[in-house]
Amino acid sequence: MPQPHADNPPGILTGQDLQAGYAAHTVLDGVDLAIAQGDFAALIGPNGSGKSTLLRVLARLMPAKQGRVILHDQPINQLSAKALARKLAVMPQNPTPPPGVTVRELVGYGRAPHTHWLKPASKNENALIDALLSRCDIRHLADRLVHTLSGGERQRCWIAMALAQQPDVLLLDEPVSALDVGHQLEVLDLLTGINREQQTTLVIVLHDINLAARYCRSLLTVRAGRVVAAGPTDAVLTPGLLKELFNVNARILNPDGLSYPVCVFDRAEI
Amino acid sequence: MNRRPNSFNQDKPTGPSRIGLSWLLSRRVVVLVVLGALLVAGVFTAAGTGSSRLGFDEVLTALGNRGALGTPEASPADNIVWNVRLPRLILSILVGLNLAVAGVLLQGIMRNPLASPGIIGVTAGAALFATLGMLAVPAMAGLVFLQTLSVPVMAFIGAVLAAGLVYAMSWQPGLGTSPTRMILAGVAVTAMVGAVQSFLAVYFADRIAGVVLWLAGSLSARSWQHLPLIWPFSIGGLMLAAMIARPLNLMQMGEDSAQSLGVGVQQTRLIAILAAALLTASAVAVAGIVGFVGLVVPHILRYTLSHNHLWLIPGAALGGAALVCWSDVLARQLGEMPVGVLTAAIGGPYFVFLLYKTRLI
Repeated sequence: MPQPHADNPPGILTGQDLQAGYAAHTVLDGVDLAIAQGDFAALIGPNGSGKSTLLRVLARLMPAKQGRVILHDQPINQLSAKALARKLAVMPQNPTPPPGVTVRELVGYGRAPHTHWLKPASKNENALIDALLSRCDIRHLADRLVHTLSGGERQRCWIAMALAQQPDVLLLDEPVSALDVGHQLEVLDLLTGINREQQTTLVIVLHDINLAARYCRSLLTVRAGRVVAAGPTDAVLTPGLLKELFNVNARILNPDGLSYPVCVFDRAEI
Repeated sequence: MNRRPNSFNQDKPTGPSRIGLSWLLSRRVVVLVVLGALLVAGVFTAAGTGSSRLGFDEVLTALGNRGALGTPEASPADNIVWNVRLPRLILSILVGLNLAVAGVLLQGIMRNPLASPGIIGVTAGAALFATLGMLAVPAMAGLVFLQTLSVPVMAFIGAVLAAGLVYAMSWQPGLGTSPTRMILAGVAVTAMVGAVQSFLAVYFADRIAGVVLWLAGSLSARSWQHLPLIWPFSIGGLMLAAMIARPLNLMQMGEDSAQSLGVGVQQTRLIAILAAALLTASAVAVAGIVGFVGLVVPHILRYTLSHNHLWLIPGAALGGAALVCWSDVLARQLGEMPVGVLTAAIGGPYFVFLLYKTRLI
């Protein structure tokens, strides 16, 4: 279980002057960020702004050309692949459901960083996997093959697998973009519950500003490979920021009876 | 907002795609037992058939009579089984095992059912260098031993060079290797190597007369001397395969997912390629090109046995062994036809049938 770091609240995951890209093409151009312990942060920005690249660099799926990522107090480059996987889990944008694998087996894969190739799964492991299947509401699907499931069910399986790693930090790349509104809320409710119950720090790439405003405690906004604004959602989310990010005129409403703001957009004139 | 209560869903009757664990388990066990039975039947058939036919009990008696070899008590059956048929059938088993396991490993790392030692250029590289070995050490009377040594060594060098070349060609700085690039590089390497091979076969036709038969994949006239050229590689290759079975399972979800679960993706690839090169090179060294085994056996077993490499690797070892063992029995019946011709003749159409049945094309 993740340990709360009350004495050391800021920055369970920090990035310092991150630069990354493909060949000569620079995608991240000096990103500094700090994600607080227990945060539920949304990473938002226009298409091609470097959100996914930033997430990949934070997860060491892609090397940074310059700068470093620090998890707890350790640069992630100093961790072995398994040690990193015990602390930080990633849900890629479109994970491939492996053929012929059941939901239970898939969630069990999440235990890989905690096991050795000669050591079979123990009784405790099975209890943990059962608990995760129940928590993510996929216990009734346990013996189904993953590739036969619907999009929403699959996303819950991937989340359960990532949670089986028992990470302190979970990064999710657009986990709800391909889902209908009902399943979007279902997945985000699940993530909110996990964030509250286990203090798992969540960083989630979202395209829907209204979902980010409703669910996420803080926003990290990027444009053209640089951080535009970062901080608590209430403080950061302004019409000015949305104009800068997406070139839209936004009105931010606070309807009666809702605890979160609602944004309405118009395309800005040039 | 509202979570559906779990108890509601738990006891619900499940849909048609539900597969019970016990059923899966029993099916896997059944497939493995069938493969094992096929192999044992193949062994006794191979030991019993040939110019003189031996029954099951005669084979058993002969196998128990090893001590009598070289003494006047040895019956003709003892000599035939021990000196002619046993080494050949053990070789056929090891060749099949090696090629099928190499196929599993390559398909596993490339997530592509078309990957196999043949496609990736490893077989061609091994064959070319083995041919060079034959050219460099002409089969003159006194040099026969040197040639039996140079061929496998050269085959291994060729397999590793081809695999290394394919790996290097498909490698992009910062991104690693992609399965697609690797297969394209394999096709390119196979083509280039094939050109050199044809050149050698035409220009040195007189000096490498046996090479055509050998390239077609043959197990005729093999003896105990050939065994040390393959069994250490079979064991080494299987051990490496066992080491990466679990990482290979995780890699079926894609590189990012595997890596975020702590799999060393590049190390796993490297180990798989090295193991596949060892297994393929030693098979090529003793039997030439026995095609389609590394492609068809893993592919069939993925659908009938399991996608899980912990089952697939032992299953492919049994299946490949049984296939080449039976193919060699049949090849001998057909007037010493090269076994590679037969495996391709059996494997090719079955592969098409399987693709059609599983609606992959």
